Amino acid sequence: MRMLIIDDDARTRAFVAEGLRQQGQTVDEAPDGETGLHMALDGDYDAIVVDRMMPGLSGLDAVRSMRASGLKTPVLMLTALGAVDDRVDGLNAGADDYLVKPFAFSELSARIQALIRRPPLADQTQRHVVADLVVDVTAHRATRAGQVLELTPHEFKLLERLARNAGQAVTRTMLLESLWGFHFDPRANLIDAHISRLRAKVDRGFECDLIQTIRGVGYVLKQPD
Amino acid sequence: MSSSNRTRATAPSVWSTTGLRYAAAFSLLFSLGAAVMVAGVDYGLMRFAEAEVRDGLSHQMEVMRADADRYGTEALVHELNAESRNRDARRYLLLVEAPGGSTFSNGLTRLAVNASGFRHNLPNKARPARWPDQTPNMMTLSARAADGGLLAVGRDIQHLDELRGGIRRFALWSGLALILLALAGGWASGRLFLRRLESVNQAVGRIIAGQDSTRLPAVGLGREFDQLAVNLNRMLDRQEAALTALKSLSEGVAHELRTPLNRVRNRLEEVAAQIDNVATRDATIERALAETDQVSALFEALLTLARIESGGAALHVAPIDLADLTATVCDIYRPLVEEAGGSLITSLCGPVSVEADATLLQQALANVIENAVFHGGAPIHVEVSAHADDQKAILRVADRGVGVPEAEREKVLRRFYRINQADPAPGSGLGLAMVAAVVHAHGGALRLADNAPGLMVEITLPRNKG
Repeated sequence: MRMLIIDDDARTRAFVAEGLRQQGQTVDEAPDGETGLHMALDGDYDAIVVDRMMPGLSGLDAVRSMRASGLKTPVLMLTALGAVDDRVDGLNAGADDYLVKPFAFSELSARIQALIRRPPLADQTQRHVVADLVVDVTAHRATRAGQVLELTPHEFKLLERLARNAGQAVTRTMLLESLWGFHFDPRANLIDAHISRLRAKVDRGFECDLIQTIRGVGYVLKQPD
Repeated sequence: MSSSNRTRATAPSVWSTTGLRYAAAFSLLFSLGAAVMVAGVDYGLMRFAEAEVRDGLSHQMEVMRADADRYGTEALVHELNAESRNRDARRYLLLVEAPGGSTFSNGLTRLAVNASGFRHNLPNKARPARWPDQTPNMMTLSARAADGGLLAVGRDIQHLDELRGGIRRFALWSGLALILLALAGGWASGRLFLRRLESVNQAVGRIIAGQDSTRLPAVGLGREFDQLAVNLNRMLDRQEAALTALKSLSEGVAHELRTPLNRVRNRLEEVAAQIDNVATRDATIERALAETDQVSALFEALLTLARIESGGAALHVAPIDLADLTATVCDIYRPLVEEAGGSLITSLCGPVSVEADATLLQQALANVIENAVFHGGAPIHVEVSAHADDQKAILRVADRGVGVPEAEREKVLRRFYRINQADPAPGSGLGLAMVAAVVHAHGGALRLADNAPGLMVEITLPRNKG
C-alpha cells in the first residue's frame, strides 16, 4: 500500500510516516499543501493523510482541488479543530474521515485501514460472513451457527459496524462517532459496556469468541487464529 | 501622568470644534439665502415703484393733453403760466411748447425729454453742470398735442435710488449681524460641547489607562447624548464582566491543565526510574497516555463551550423529537448502568417536538446522565422523563445519590467547580457548565432541585409550535 502524508509539522509527519512504514506501507511525505497536491495528483496512492491547517495552500483547499480534479483516493484529515462545524467543513471539502489532534497512532492506523478497505458505495455488501456468524443487513438479522441472535437495534448496529470492518481493528472513538454521532469523549466506558452485552449474545455458548479486544486500540471481529 | 498628557494633547480648541464649524457653514448658507431674498425684494420693489412713476406720468400727460387738445397748446401755456403757483411744482416738472413759440416750463428742459415717449435720465457724474437747475435722476414722458405743440412731464426719481440704497444697506448690515450671531452661537456651543465632552474624554482616558471600573459621566447636552453615555456604560459593564470571566477562566484553565500535565510528568519520571521493570513500565506509560487524553478532552470541552457561548452562529437548529433523542441517549447509557448493578428508567410519552441543535442537546443530556451515573451514589438509580405542555418541553433526570446542597446548586454550574475537590470521579469539571450553556443558547432554563434523596436536573425548552 502507498500512502501520502501532507503536513507542515515535520515531527507529526515523521511520527505518522515512521509508524506506517513499520506496518509495511510505502510512505511519501509532503511538507506543504502545494507539494502535497501535486504529489497526490501525480502519484498513485491508496490513502492520503492531510493536515487541515497549513501555511499557503490549506488542507481544506488541497482536498477540494484533489476532488475537483476527479481524484477519488480516500483522504483522512488531521486537525487541531474538533468542533462539529469544523468536521462538517472538512467532510464537505471532500475528506472521508476526520481525526482530531492529539491522536493515538493506533487510532490513525485503524481509520486509514477502514478507509482503504471501504468498498465503493455502489457495491457495498449487505451480507457479512465471519466464520459461522452471518450478519444480513437487508433482513436486519444476525445468525450464529444457524441460530438467530436476539439483538436490540443498538446491538445490531454495533455488530454490523464490526462486521463491515471484519478482520480490522475498530476503535472506541470510531464506534462512538459512527454509531451515535458522539463527537465528544464520554467519561464512561460506554462502548465496553455495549460490547460486553453483545458478547453475551454473539459469543457466549459458542465454540470460539469472534469479538476480540485489541488492547489500547479497540475491538475486532474475526475468527481467532 | 502620561494619561493626563494624552488627554490634554487630544483636547481640541474651540476654533476647531464641530459646533463652530457647523455654525460657520450655516451662517454662510443663510447669508447666501438672505442675499438671494434681498435681491428678489429689491428687483420687485423697483419694478413696482417704476411702474407707479410711469402711471403717474401717464396720468399727468392725459390731463394735459386733454386740455391742449380741447383749447390748444397756446391756451394751455397761458393757463399754466397763470396758475403755476397752484401747480404741484415740486412733484411734477412740466414743459409745454406751443407751435407759436410760447413756452411753459417749471424746470424741465428740452434736453431731458425725447420727441415722444418715456425717457429715463440717469445721473451723469461726468457732466454734473449740464442741467444745473434739474435733478439729474428723473423719468420724463413727452407727446405731441393735436396742434403740434410739445407736451412733456417729468418726475424726479431720486427717491427710488435712495430706496434701493436703503434696502442694500439693510441687507449688508443684517447679513453681517446674522453671520456674527451664528459664529458667536457656534463658538458658545462648541465651548459647551468641549467642556461637557472633556469630562467624558477624561473618563475614557482613565479606562484606557486601566481603571476598568470607571464609568462615563452624563454628558448633559440632551437626552440623546445621555442615552449614548448610558449605553456606552452598559457596554463597558458587559466588557468588564466578560474580561473578569475570561480572567477567572484562564486561571481555571491553567490550573486544570497543570494538574493532568503534572501527573503525566510524574508518570514519565516513574518510568524513567523503573525503566527495567517491564510490567510497571508499560502500565505507567498507559496511565500517562490516559492523562494526555484527559487534557485533550478538556480542550475539546472548552472549545465547544466557547463556541456555544459565543452566540447563535454555532447552533444548527432543526425541529427534533426530544423524546426520541432522550430514548437514544438512555439506550446508549443503559448497559453501562446495568453492568454496574444499577437501573436507568425512562418515562416518555409521545413525540415532543422542539427546535434544537440535536448534537449539542444530545451531548448536554449525556452530561447530565453521566453526572447522575458518577455522583448518583451506588447502586445507580437514574430516572429520565420527557414530556411537554403547550408552551414548553420538560426533560428531567433524577438520581438517588447525595444530591447537591441548595447553596451549591448555583456554583456547580460554573466551570471547573467541584463540590468536593478530592472527588475521584473523572471529568473535566465542565459538564454542567456546558449543559447550562446549551440550555441557555436554546432559550431554555436549567433548574437543579432536591429529589429527596438525590438530585433532580430539570431542563425546560421552549416548545416548537410547528
